[in-house]
Amino acid sequence: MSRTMWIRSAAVLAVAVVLILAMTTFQVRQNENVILTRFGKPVRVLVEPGLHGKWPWPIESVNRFDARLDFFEARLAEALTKDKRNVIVPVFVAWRIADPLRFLESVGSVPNARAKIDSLVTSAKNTALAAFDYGQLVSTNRDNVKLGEIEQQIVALVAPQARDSFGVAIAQVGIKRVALPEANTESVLKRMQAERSQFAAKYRAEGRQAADEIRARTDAERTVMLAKAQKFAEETRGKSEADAARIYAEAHAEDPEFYRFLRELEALRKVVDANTTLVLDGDAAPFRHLRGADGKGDDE
Amino acid sequence: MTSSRRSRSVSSEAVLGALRESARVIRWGFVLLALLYLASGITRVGPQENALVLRFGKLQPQVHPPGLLFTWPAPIDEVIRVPVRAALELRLDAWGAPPEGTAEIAATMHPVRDGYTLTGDANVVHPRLAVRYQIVDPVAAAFSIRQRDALLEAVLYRSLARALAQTGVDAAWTSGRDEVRRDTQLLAQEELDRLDAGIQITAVEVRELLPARLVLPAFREVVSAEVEARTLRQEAEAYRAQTLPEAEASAYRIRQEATAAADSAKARAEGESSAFTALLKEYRKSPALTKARLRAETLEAVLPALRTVTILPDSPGHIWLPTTPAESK
Amino acid sequence: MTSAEARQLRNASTAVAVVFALIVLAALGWPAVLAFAVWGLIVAAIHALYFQIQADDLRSLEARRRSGSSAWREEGDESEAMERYMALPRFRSFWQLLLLGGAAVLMGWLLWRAWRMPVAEASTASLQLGIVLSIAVAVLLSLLGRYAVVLGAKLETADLNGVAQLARFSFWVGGALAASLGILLYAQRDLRVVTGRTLVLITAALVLDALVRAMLRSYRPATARKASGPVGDSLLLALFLRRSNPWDEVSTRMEGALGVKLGDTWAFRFLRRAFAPLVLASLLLAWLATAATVVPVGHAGVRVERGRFVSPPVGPGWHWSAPWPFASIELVPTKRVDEILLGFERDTGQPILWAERHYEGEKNILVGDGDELLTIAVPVHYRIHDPLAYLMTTSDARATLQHLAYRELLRVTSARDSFAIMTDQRADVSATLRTGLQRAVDAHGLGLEIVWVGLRDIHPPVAVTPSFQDVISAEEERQTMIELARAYAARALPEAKQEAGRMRATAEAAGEERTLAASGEALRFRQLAGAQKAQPDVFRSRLRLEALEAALAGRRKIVVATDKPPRITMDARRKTEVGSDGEGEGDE
Repeated sequence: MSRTMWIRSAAVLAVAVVLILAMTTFQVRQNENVILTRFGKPVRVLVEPGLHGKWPWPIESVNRFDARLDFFEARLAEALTKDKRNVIVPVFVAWRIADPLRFLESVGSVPNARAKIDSLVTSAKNTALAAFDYGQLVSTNRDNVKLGEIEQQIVALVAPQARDSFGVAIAQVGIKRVALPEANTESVLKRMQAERSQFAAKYRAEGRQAADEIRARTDAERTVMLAKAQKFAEETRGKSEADAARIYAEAHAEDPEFYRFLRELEALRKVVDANTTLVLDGDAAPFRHLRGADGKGDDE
Repeated sequence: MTSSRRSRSVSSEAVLGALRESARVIRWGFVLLALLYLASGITRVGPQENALVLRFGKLQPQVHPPGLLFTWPAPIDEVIRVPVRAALELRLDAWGAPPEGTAEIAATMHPVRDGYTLTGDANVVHPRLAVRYQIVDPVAAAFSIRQRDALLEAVLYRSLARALAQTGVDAAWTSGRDEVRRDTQLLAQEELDRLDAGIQITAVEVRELLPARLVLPAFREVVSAEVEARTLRQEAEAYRAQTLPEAEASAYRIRQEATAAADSAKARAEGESSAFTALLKEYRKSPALTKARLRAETLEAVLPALRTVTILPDSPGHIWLPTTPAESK
Repeated sequence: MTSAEARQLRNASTAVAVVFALIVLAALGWPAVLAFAVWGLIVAAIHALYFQIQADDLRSLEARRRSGSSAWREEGDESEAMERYMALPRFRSFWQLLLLGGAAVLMGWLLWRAWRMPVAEASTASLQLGIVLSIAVAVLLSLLGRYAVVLGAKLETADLNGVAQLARFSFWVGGALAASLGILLYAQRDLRVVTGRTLVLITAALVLDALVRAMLRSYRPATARKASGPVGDSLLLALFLRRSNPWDEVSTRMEGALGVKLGDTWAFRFLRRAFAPLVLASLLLAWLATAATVVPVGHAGVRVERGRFVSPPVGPGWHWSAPWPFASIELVPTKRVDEILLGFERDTGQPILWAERHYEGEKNILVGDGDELLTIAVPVHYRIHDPLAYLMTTSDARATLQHLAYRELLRVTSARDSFAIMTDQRADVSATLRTGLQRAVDAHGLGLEIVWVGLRDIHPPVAVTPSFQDVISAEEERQTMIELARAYAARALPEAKQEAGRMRATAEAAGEERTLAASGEALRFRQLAGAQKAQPDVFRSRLRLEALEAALAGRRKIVVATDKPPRITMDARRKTEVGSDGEGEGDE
């Protein structure tokens, strides 16, 4: 009986201890900031994680805040650049609670803070964009692109206000994208098409030009090459003929008369062939004999 | 009155009995619950995870590797598991081009409904990315950012937009693709490190990079024009490669022929002149005889070749030239 | 357990589950009305259940009576039951009861619409309709309650007590709803949320009561269970709606439920005696509690003593004052940063695209000396700087601030050029606006501090935007035309270049060819000329002979080797040359 009594009282004691502990202690988690208020008056700001003590509920109460970075996308808004072009530059914001007490007093909750930061960031974004040209948002020259500077400028515009008003530190404002109003995209697409058609035409024409150039050059080179060869041939021929002439001349100089005779005979050989009709005088040397035998009877 | 009292005592007996009956069951139930509570501190850390332990909310310095992990139950310890070794993947498809052949091609792009971004030369492009990353710092990953995945995605989109905003569409479309990829990774990593996200991007892959659908045909046209130009040039080169050696060959031939002809002419001249000299010697010995002999020899050679010989009578004759069917040259 | 009881339990638990679900819904947003509708349901269900059970009993009774008339006469109990059965005919239909419940739900729904309306939109007619409906339902339910009481008295049974109490309670609920709507209509005070929450709490308590009783009943022996009252018989209701001492009621109920006699315990007797003093003491305590105020973090408390604000205000924490009618502490959130947005009436939450409607009732502001229109969204962050001034000056500081801000906005922007406002003068405009607004607020003594003034979205009116954006489109089109011209140039120029290049190359080649040919020929001639010099005669004759050979070899010719030239007649059809010139001389 006494054993059960003991167990019973131990159980009651344990329950009582647990209850008291639950009411008089609280944990601060690794990523949390806690503000302890006594009858609504902030008495302690706890940043150090671990177990801490407090008075039970109606006296002291615990306000917890997540100290991690919070992220949200600002509402999409169209803006104007310095050179008066409409652009749509969505931004997102990463922020954290830097001063929990000021945060609790001024906004109190994360959604509330987001709405206010959104106002700050959107205003700052529009102001920052108005200081840059469209060509500094997008450019093929990477030194011209100032998106990073715009982000930094937005942060610079927002950060002091956010810290002083809401106890919030802005870790990052990021430009998520660069877009254009719908009405403008039509002409942009048309321009893209024209640009492309220009490139296509250029490539085609250049290709044709290069090909033609190669062909023309080839033809020219061939002609020159052949002409040179021809020239060489002529030259060689001339030289050889001269040589031949000299050789002939040397030989023929001994008796030009005889040479002419021989040459004429040779010419005769060459010229007289089957196509030649020879008309002879009947009285000439060998044919006289013909007449004596045959031709006489015929004539008479 | 008496009957009601009796019934009351009966009913109270019944209540007490029922309570006694259930007491044992309740006791065992309590024991079981207590055991379950104590066991709730035992956690299995998966093969690709590391575990962090918070004791009373305070982070313990040790990072626990995979395996069984014994901790205190709920209000004392809290186990946070972080997938450190896993290769995580994120696909950025929000700006992707609508699949081909689905909807009709719009002539305009709505800034909210249509995902796209601008390149450096203000061209509308639709990129799709696949990003692989790893958590390298479990503490930072668990305690620095509330919506880690959403922020990672936003940072990646930002870096991609920046990378594209400083690249021309031609480069992005062809050779600069790699540069866009590298820029995106570098910019994103820099930002993530600054935000202490504990994330390492291992690879960024450009899965698709298309211009707006309306202008896609024009882009393809450029590519085919390029190919065409290259073909033309190659054909010309081929023509050149064929023609020049041919020309060289024929030039060589001409030269060779000329040289050969020259040589042969010279040789002939020499031959002839030596023959002449020999004949001349003969001729000098007996000029008339030699001359007559030579003439006779020539006539002997020539006359048999003649087809027609007409011998005229004394009186001047009349020659009819025969008609030949075709005059060969 | 009989089948009737089983059904009763089942139905009761179903009803409880449904009620719970509805309470959850109620807690989510439509408090009072749902509570009211729930009451309609409960009343209907309970009545239906009760009469169904009765009818079941009686039906089996009647069956028994038909089977044997002897048994029926012997059992006096049953004849009594029969009598009850005869007394019920007018009101035993299950469907009638359901109809009643349905009507209650319908009216609840109608009331809900009046309930949900924002104060500004609630029209007098709809509020009046709501009041009339609530009163009608209340009266109907009170009639039902009376009927149940009378019926119970006639039948000498306590079974209908529960029903009567529920109906009476519902009457009070309907009355409360009508009263709160009436207060809204005639006294301009919105008590709807308070009434709603109260009703939800009461409903939850009653459901809990029903649940506990249902559970307890299962512990009782079968006989006692049978004797217990019908569903809907609530301890809580009995406590407050019966005219006996509430402790007696608790005691008898506990006896009935558990068989434990509470009435004999010491504590119970003490409580019974001390009931009135206890109530008095707690009332006194509640009154004294109004002397203590907790000022929460971020607020300031302003003491109000006999209707006068007392300086200085107190900070967060626990503060004492005289109790309620004599003094109080008003709470003012001094550290909270609030926001008002100028430039439109209502935000649709759409993205802010200039060409699409994103705010309702956008206000156009004349700028550029009245030549241009702009819509400007201006967020103003402010906090209460001086709680006393804030409380004293105006009842609606927000509206006043809004008016001042509009005036200031007009003043600052009217002389500026629209593009300057949209681009490089933004910072200047917002800074000027802030100082100007602060000055105006101070002049009016609103006790507010303007923390920040931004210029969020400045753009031409939505209707004008397309022509505005057209400028940019035109710029793009200009670019397009240039590109097209470039495309033409890219096509035409290389073509011309190509033509020119080809011509040049051909010409050059042809020139070179000619030169080379000429120089070749010249060289040849020079060589020959040199050769000729040695023996011009021989050379010439040789050349002549060579030419002759080349010309005559193979030709058709006639050689006339005679001194007497013959007459030669040419064939008419063929032309033939006669080689009589050179050969004649060669012979001989």
